[in-house]
Amino acid sequence: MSNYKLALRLIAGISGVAMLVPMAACGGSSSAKSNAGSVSVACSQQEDFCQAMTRAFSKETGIKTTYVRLGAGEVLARLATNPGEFDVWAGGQAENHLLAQDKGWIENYKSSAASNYPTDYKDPSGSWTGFYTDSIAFCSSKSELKKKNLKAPTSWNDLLSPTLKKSVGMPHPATAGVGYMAMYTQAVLHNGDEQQSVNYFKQLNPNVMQYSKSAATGTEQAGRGEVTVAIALDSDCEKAIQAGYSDLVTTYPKEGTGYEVGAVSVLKNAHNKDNAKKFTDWILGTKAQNLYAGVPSFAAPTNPKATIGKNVPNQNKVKKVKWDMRKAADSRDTFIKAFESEVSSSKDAK
Amino acid sequence: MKSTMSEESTTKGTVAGALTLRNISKVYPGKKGDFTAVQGTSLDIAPGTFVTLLGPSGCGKTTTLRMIAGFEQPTDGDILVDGKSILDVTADKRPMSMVFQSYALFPHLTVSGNVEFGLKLKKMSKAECKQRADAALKMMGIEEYADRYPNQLSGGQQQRVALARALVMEPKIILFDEPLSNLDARLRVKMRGEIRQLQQKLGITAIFVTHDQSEALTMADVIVVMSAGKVEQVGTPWEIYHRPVNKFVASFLGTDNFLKGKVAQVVSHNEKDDSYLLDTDLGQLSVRGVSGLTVGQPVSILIRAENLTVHDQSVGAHLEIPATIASSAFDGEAVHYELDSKVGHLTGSAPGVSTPLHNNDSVVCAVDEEGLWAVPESAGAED
Amino acid sequence: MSSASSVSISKNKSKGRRRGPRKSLSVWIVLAIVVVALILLLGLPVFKLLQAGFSAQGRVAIKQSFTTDIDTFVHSIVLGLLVGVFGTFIGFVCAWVQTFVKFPGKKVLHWVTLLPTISPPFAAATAIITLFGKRGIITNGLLHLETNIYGLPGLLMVLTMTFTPVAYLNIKGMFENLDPSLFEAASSLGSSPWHTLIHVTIPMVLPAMLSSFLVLFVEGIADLANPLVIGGDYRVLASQIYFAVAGSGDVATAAGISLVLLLPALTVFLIQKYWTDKKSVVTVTGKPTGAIKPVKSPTVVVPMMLVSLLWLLLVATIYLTLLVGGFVKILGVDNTWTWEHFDFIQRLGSDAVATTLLMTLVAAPLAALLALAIAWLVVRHLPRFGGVLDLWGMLGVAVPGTVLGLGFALVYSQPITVFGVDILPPLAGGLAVGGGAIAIVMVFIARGDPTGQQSFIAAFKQINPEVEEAAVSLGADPLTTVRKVTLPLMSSAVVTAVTYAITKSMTTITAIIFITTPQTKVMTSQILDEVDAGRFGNAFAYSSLLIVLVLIILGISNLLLRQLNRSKG
Repeated sequence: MSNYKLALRLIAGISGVAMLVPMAACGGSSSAKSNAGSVSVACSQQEDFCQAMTRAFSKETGIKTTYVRLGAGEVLARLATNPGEFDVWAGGQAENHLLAQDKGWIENYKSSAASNYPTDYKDPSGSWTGFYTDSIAFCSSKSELKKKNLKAPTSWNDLLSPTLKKSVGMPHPATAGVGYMAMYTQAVLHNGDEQQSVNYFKQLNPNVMQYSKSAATGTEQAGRGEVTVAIALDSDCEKAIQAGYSDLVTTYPKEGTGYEVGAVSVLKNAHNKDNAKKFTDWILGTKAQNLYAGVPSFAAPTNPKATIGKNVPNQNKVKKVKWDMRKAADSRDTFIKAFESEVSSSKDAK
Repeated sequence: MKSTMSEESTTKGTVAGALTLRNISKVYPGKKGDFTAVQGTSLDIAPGTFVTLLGPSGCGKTTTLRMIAGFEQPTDGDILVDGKSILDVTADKRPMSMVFQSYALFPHLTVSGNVEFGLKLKKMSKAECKQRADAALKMMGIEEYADRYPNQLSGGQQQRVALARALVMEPKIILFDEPLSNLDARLRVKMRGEIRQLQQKLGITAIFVTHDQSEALTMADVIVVMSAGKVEQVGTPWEIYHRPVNKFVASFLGTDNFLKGKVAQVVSHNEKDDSYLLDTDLGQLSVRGVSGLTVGQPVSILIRAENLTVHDQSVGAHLEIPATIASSAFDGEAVHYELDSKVGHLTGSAPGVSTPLHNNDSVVCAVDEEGLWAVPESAGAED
Repeated sequence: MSSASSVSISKNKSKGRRRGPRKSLSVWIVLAIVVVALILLLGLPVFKLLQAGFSAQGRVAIKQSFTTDIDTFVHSIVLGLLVGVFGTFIGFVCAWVQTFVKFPGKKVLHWVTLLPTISPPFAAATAIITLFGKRGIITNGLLHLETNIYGLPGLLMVLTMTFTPVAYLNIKGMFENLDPSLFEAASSLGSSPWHTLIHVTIPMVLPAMLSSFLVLFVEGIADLANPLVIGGDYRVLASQIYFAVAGSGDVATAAGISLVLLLPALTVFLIQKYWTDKKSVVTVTGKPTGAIKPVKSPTVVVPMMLVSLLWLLLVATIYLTLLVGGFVKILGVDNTWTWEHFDFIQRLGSDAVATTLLMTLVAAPLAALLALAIAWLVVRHLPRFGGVLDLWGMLGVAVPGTVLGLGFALVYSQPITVFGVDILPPLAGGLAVGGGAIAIVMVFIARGDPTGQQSFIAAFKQINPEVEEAAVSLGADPLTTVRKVTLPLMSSAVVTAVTYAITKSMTTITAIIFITTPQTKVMTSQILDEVDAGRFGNAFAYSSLLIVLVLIILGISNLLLRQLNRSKG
């Protein structure tokens, strides 16, 4: 009887204390703001990168920096529901930033740090500025290729080979930028005909083992041998190789491939607009761009003066298609809808 | 309110436990129309009375008890304890405790834990709790099992724990819901006596629900016979047994023989009973009966089995019925006979020491006319 | 005659006024608290979703789910049914073995059976891929098979594993409260052990089995994390919802599909209610009997033991994989020993760990209390309208996490106003009070409640009301009765409720994706990121850490709960 009472009291006590602590902690942290203030980052990069960057920025400037790692689609959803929650958005394809600007969620800001950037890597109006870039590639497992008597694919058409039935990893266009970039790439290759692109992926559908939620999932599936080829970013494939999936190899389609520019933008309802700008300047500056090599991130820094890390795929050697950021952004919705209604649900999958 | 209530119920000797049911009804709404479990029942129970609610299952006796306890709310009417309505008092605050058919012991508590349960809720000091619980256990003769768990006890012991747990609360009124039905016959008889003695010793009002007529007869000061949600008769065991108001009460209390008749003449008139001359198949009989019967009214004459003795030949009694034996049963004390006669099927008996008679023997049944009793033929519920 | 009719009129009036027994004030207070809690947890967010779901775009999505995309709907149903059947079956077998068979190491088996509850989303799925995939350590390495675990087989395996413990705990709790004389009666009537099992034992625990099936079915169709990892080309509604929201921020479509998903969940719920109500089995009678005697007949024991041991072997292997996977570079690819994954976790810092733990400690007891309160009202006090409360609470699991999280984001990122007066400040998002922690705790409670609710309801139904009435008649008010009598008699349900509330809080991911904030980070969302990036090693290490933490919390709460059960003879 009394034991039972004791248990109840303990539970009540614990919950009481537990209730108080986070509140106290929050109160404490907000009152302990340094003079430099704070900045809140929506980070659409990989966790370790987000962490290294925010930490380095915080250390250098004294600005308290917090972040949440979110996919680009998730950021867009949250900007709609929680305006003002984030001050700056770092990472994610420039197209997504354009879409955010269309909704009026972005404050144009032309950073002086980007004055020497190639025009491909920044928006003329200043809505976004690119701070890294990488390209779509084929990330293949050598041993699986060997088993199937195939060479590493060098053409988009190689992926359609019946030998590769249920052996291709493809990121879902709705959640992973690469998936949708691949669709846009196909459209460009067909003179901008969107339906041709959809047809290509319908043909590819029987070969796809899984449409993964994230861009990088395919590289790991290939590394493990669950799929033979993954459509992935070259930087992610390289990252997997460095992580221990040494059996992987990166190849590019000879027809030309798409590429992404990872962008940073200042958000409209930012509570710390100045710090958001400071963060933008900083991440575009040479010093920060040099840090990529150490994280390590295998995407190439966009700052022409930055040192490029070992093993980072050389973007200058990749044959790229002509990329129209605006067009790509505008066709995103069409592609995703077509993908859902025509491609992934098509019966050829069986 | 709360404090006075608990004070009253803990302090012995205050005005204790007058219970009044004022025209209470209980209707359960159902898909196929309402079901009336209790219909306009009124009762006045003096403090310290042992009342049994007697009736077949489904007669509303348990519902009535549960309304008194506060587990059901009457659809209509009022319940008063010592003149105050308790309808707005929740079950836990009513000055009564209940003993359940299943005992409802708390399996996770020891015997003393069970008994102290209610005392602890009264914020009684530990020492007092223990002292009172010990006293209750001792009174029930189970103090040696104080530290056992209910599942380690026999049925009789469990029953005593349940009783001790209710009594230790010193309620104004103690409620029993067929508490003895799970015990074996011998123990049942023993517990009857013990419960009755305790109740008398403590002087508390007791309401005891049962469907067992002998339980009701042996224990009660007052028996309330119920049927189909209605009270048929309220009276002392003697009245209920010997002066039933209708055929239902009579047959529920064990009468088997009914003789049809018609009132020929009202001989005398009393408060409680009248004397009549009745025309029957056996001729004109002088019989007492329910008051208010009128000349020409059809009646049933009750002949209790013990008033119908079976003999192998005439014994010269005033009223004798010739019959044939259909079957017999011997229980030591008496031989019980099932008989066929010209007035129909009869149940009779002969002393256990008499020579057993055989089936199909022709016999003579001697009727003790003092024990006859007339009730209206059709009034009252049919069994 | 006229006076008679006037009497009957007054009767009718009073009939409307008083139906049940007079309820204590405490019942009304509890009811009020529960209703307010449910409105906040599940009412407002779900209402927002209904609004979105029935918008023009939402209706298009609903129509599509039943026409062009009917396959996906069928997939979800099939998956839910299979998970429900397998999970309930295995849970039953394991519970039976725990209750009726005497063997050494029983306690260990008990804990291994429970282990999958604390599997963070993704973790078990990744382990299963590593073990049973096309190049899996077991399927390919040992057996030289080329199996495709992606799709229905993998989903079924991982979901069954994750949710079997619900059935196990539920059914075991019911076994413990069975009257042993039933089994003695059966065997004395000449019933063979198998016959007894099928005709006595199973019918007796049918309510628990049905409620387990319900929870498993609903969890099965609503689970999002696993289809994303191991779903292959097996499309299910839950992931469609996720793609709609996370990809295009298309709330209306997501809400529309969610409504489609709610339909089978609610249907199963209603069927289960109908059955259970017809087959109410009261077994705690207050008329005590002895202890359950072990079954010795090998014809029953051997197959049952076999099933449960095989199952446990599977579970143990998967968790071993998780553990080992945290210490090698890439399990199955590069098996060199390394600390790098734990280094990574250390670099991430203890923020997420501490925050998650604290929020769990707040949410779990509250979720269990809410579950208890709902079950108490439903079974004991509101026999007529209780079903509504029950259903309402079940929405916490029936509404897909993604959708619930979205609902929370929609409702609580702005202040709640009634007639122009702010009654609640914003609770969700980085700008909210407490850094968004309150909204996350609320989601934890909403998600943690339903399982406990079901097991409490089953437990209440098992206890003879006379036992509680006895307490009331001894002067205990309804709340005291629950505290001192009912709860101690359903310690198994308490354990189930608390366990699930804790593990749900520690492992919820999809529901909080939209409301994690820079100030309040949650462990699972960081694990998710690692799995996403294909860094299974980090995910394994992180999962191991999470499992150890959950085990510690569960251990402590179990000790506390055992204290209250200790005296039960």
